[in-house]
Amino acid sequence: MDDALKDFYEVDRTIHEPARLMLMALLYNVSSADFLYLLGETGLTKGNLSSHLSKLEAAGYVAIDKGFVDKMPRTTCRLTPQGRQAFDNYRQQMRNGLAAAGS
Amino acid sequence: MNRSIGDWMRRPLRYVYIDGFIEIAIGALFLVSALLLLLFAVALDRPALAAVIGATALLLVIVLGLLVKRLVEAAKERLTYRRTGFVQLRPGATPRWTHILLILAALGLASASLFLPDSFQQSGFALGALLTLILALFGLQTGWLRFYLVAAAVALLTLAASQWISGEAAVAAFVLGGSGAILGMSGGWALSRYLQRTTAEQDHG
Repeated sequence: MDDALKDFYEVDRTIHEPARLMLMALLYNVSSADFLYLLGETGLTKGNLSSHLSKLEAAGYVAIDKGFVDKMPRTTCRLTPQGRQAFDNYRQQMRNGLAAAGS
Repeated sequence: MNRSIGDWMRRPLRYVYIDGFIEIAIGALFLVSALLLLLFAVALDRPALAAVIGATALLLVIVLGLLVKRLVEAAKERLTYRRTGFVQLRPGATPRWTHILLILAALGLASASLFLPDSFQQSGFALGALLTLILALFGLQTGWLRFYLVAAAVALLTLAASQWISGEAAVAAFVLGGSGAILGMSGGWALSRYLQRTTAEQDHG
């Protein structure tokens, strides 16, 4: 198999799922963002968002902290260094694959 | 879902300006600075008084500048984060090219101001042009029309003031105050639009 196509085949499927890809992209430029923000930006349902965040957490890509600010609950999410690296790798793999497909 | 990955990555950068608080705060700071600059200009023929006003103004602007960040953060905590959520940008999240463009633009302006006609008040013009560039960069960074419109309004104000008002300090004060008022109005519009579109929510994560 061509190396670039192999990049496509071996792409990280935890990230490749569209909703999780959105979440990873949103979290990439922030130190942390809360559940409410991610809910509004992605347009996912609460259940869906929770489920995708749990999968990213289980993969070690996202860290989730539950806390209170002024007696209001706040669930904050952030990319772990491992998640940041995985997202960089994913983007590189996609770039390589698309470049090869275009040539 | 049809947005590019890059667009999703830029969205948190835009979110910082969504409620208009930053524009309102900076606008207010500019207005206060313009007022102090005018006072300073009026007192210029009395050097002792001008020195006192100058030193007080500088101190006040520094203190207010430091307070602005806290005030904006407090306002966001009470209003924005409860409605549409909390985001803390990663240090260095702003694209590096914006910093490089800003430095190049400032250098370009400094060089260009040497060739301005005598009728132009150079310091006020340079100040207004720099503000215009910064606002246009915000527009480029966020892709929002409102920053381009504010930049255009500040540019027009600067051209008019540099041409028709006499006295360097007066022009600088007019440009600063006018820009502050424009920023305040733009921020106020953004805030009212934001409040109309959103309601306070509970975190259910």
